[in-house]
Amino acid sequence: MARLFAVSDAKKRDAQVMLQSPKKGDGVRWLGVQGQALHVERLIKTTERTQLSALTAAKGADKLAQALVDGDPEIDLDHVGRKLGRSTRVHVRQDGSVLYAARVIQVVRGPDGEEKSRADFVDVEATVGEQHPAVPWTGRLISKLEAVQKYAMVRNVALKHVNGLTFDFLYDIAKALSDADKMLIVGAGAKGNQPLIFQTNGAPFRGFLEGRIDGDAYWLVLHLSNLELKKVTP
Amino acid sequence: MANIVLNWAGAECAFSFTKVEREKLYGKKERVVVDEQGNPCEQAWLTRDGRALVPSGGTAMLYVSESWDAVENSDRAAVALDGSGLEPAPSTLGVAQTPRRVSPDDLLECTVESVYQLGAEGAPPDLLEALDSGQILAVRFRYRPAQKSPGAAESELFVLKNSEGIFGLVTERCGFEFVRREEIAGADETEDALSDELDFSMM
Repeated sequence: MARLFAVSDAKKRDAQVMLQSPKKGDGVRWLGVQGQALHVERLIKTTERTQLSALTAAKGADKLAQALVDGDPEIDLDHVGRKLGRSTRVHVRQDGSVLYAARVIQVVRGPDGEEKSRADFVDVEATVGEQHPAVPWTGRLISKLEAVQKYAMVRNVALKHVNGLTFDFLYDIAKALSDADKMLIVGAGAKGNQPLIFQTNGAPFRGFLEGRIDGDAYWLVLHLSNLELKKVTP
Repeated sequence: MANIVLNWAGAECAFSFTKVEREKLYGKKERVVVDEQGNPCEQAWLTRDGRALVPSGGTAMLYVSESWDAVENSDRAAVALDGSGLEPAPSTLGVAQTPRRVSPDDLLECTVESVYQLGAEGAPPDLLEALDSGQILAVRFRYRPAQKSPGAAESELFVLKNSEGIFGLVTERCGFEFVRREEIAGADETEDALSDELDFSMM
């Protein structure tokens, strides 16, 4: 389902418009050597009863090797090869017992992988969407070359009108940006300096609005970046 | 590992490459489930009948026919959804590609799928000069061999330079078109590319 997005222009007018995602490429089907149709199934390979820890506990560490030679205790014959099907995700303790009341914590690690902090996990709310105020016109422009040299645009969504009024609204925004030959830096919050987060716990993005005009048609795309073009240590 | 090779003024110019990832730049935030004592817990799957608890890594994905015969990867072939054949698309690594000069507009018509930091120790001075002046180059790029529909657009790698170094951006075309007044957006139009953005890593 397409998303609604509220945006303001330089005259502080705002409107809700539709966000359109890029079309995905055509999928493929898989055929066997005789041309038979194939599909993917997810099958059970092992269960908790046949994990090393469970086998060691059951047989004893000193007798496990012989047990593997004498039989097949590592294969759960009741379940191997079954479709996983509709199943419930659970969490298990280190002793293999199922957890009924989970506590979720957030661990922050630096680029070197070292743990920096840990605390109870708190949901990060969305900053844009139908229920949020319109994204303001920040007036902060950036050249296209500078933007693509600094940021990787990892998501792109096109803004599309939902009626005649919003067509004029978006056309004017696209024309203003096209005439300036620059992109508008876009953010959430009253000052437009907060990251764009489209759903709870969603990835935060920097936004860059680009506009182009072709006669009586417009092209208005919100480029989203969460990655700068910077050197990494190999 | 094979390099990304450009054919520049008739000579081959090879770039080593390292992937640029958010984790390497910013670190990451992990969501960890713990028990009452604060010990980390593992994820598992409980079957619907409650008879089996399948640990992480305890499943296998198989291609099977309608009669449930499993088929090895080497014995299966991909076809387009309409049944027409696909053509092989070999990897471009190690194979010289001729770049074309493009504008930032061309890059902005694409979504960046991956970013590589390019090592250009052997790059000729005029190539470095062109990149220094803000020139962006685009080449065909495919990391792994695959199959694609005849006439389908190739992935492109855009090469550009900033104060940090030279980067290669692997992209896919967005396919957005200019919109006219009568082309009003429908509520159920297209898939939502933003819907799977559950992220617990640092910005």
